[in-house]
Amino acid sequence: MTAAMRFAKSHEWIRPEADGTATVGISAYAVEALTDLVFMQLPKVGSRVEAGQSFGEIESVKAVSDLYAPVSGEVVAVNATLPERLETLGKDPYGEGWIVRIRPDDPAAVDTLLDRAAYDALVASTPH
Amino acid sequence: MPEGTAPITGQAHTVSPEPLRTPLFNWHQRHGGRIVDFAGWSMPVQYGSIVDEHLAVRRAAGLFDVSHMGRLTVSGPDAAAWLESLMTRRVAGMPRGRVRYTLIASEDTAGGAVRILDDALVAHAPVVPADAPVAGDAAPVLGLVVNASNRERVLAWLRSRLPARGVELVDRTFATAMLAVQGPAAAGIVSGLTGPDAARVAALANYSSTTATLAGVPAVVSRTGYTGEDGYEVVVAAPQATAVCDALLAAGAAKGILPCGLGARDTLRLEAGMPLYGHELLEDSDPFAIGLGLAIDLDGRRFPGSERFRAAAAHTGGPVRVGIAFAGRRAAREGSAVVVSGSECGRVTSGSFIPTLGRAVAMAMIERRYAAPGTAVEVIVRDSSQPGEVVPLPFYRRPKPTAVS
Amino acid sequence: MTSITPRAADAIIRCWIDDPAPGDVNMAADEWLAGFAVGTGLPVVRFSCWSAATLSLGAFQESAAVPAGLAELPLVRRPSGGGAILHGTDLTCTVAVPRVHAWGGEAQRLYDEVHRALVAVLGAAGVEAALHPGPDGPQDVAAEPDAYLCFDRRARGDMVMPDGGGNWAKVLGSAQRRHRAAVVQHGSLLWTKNPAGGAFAHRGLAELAAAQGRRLDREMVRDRWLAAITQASGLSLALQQGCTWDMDGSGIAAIATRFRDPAWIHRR
Repeated sequence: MTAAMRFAKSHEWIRPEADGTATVGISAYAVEALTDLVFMQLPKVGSRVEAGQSFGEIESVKAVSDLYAPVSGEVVAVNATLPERLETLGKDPYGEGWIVRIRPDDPAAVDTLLDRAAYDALVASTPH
Repeated sequence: MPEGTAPITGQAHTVSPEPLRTPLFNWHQRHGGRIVDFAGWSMPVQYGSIVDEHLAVRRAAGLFDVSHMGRLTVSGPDAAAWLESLMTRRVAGMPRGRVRYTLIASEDTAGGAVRILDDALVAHAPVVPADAPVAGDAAPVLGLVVNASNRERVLAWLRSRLPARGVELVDRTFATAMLAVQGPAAAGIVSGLTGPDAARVAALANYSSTTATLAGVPAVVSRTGYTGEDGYEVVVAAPQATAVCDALLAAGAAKGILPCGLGARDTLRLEAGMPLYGHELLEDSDPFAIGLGLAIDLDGRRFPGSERFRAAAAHTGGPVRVGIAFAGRRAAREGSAVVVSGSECGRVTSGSFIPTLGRAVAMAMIERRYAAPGTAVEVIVRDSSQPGEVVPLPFYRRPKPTAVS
Repeated sequence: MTSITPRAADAIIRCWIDDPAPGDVNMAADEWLAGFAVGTGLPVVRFSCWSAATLSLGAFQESAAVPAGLAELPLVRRPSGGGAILHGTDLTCTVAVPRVHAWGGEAQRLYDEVHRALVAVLGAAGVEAALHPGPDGPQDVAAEPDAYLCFDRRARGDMVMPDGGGNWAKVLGSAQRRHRAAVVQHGSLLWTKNPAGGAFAHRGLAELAAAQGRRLDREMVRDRWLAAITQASGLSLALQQGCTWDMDGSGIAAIATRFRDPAWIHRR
């Protein structure tokens, strides 16, 4: 499945599912860069998210970061237990660490995002 | 060495365990520089013998790292008028490339207390910062070079007088390096590395500056120095400093260039009779008594300290700066008492054995009635009394410049 | 987004040093910095103080949970995380860095660069201070990871000083808001104990240094800290008067209304 996974430059991933929805999370690189996550604020099921706009926030010991929606759509599910076990994000960012599931307005919008190779190249060129 | 770093604490003798390093710190070590803490910086006091380095500057050339000195720029539409309002000399009308010596004084607005913060060179720089619009004279940039020991307080004073807009004050000390190439061979060595800019660099007038490509590196080149010899001071980006030093040393090898430390810099400026802040020039000095009247332009001007200096200009009678030449080689040091006919009449401000003259000399502030050349004095050096006489300054004056080879 | 590729000698860190201001203005000015950093592609710094004792909450803290002894104080909410900070006797150092800059990457990097610069300045003045190693390091007896107040917490990189009683007291903590194009880091350097803080107040840098026999001048520490940050960046330093003199022209006034909005202050 991960072959179809796409990435936003702001380090979120999105994976189209068979039912027409798409699962969203944040990349292993993002989790690593934030370190020591302490809090996460999730959107409500049924709310709308807009591509490039914040749909939630995540706090580490040092920093608050926005979570940006890779595509526009409606939130159909949230990983409600994730804020209580944020360590899951570090252990399995692309599986158990999923954050929300949305129904994209335009399923093709996902294809405009970075593929794995392009995202890896972006991370490699990011200052450390 | 003279000058101490202004302590951050209220205690007088705070030792700085981690002095700042110039971009040439490793270069100094590679060339055998003996590193000392000077004004909060790790600087080479000498590489070999101070006498050899001193004589190299008088006879051939010396290469100094003076990156510890503060390099500031003032830019923006109101830059010249603003800086003019704070300097003891006019700096607003200078043509591009002109360099001028000035004092910087602060004046406490409440009590009116005046403190001379530093002496400095102000240049109407022939450079335009990358982030300013390049529009000829529309974006004038003035550069200041201040003493390392005074950089912080000069910055703090200038910042406190910044207008809300129209002036940008930048401290470029850490991002750039400054080298001095001094000596009769300096012009040939420096201009020889400037390719198509060579003629312009060789013909540069004293107290003027230009941009040039030096050893392939963009540089600001000024015909200035602090040794009493012909020479240049160049500013380059910090990462390029090592390569430029290597190129200068290689280019001057056949002519006898030596890397020189702060030791030779001090003996050279003393021999040339140049005042040094913290020694001859102090916060409460009378500039006219030190011979720095030329650095004060009172004509129709008001600036911090102007009224104090106006009063000082009208008043004569206090101690004046003189040169003292000793019969022997033993050097008087700062603070040594100067005695005439058994009574103390002043204090030594700088003193050293001077290689070119082969004897010890000193500068001192002494009572005016004893200041006439030829007056016999004694200077108390520790427990002994060293005989000497008052002599005109400078102790050394360079021969008339010869044609540039 | 475009970034300016800096030429080493001409690239500058801009620094504004502001007069004391109320909380909403300080918050707004710091957000304004982020835009400036993005526009220039370079870090910017702002030092400020607070015109009145004020409690700033972390982005997610519950305003209803403010301890009773501090509940009467003016309240602002930071966009950055972490615990609540009692302002008024502190020096606030805000650094905004574009994400494309080397300091805009991993969060700890900027935290350490800024804090390490102050440790070096204090070390040079003969004052002992250190970066806290984090949860594995020595803990103050009072330190609790979930404490409401920032200065009762300890995070890796917090600047701590010996308190004379065998513990390490926190005097500098920072928290970041990581925007898409810029990171804004709020740092609070506690200078002296805040009389408005009652039992919640801690001793500051000046008092802990005095206990080590060193008297520190606040402006001198600020200026040297700034110089050390500049040196670590390898850039030149541009000094500005404060940025809050022209709040309307700069847009800071408009941003400040958002920080005065009760919906933001009491969003949790």
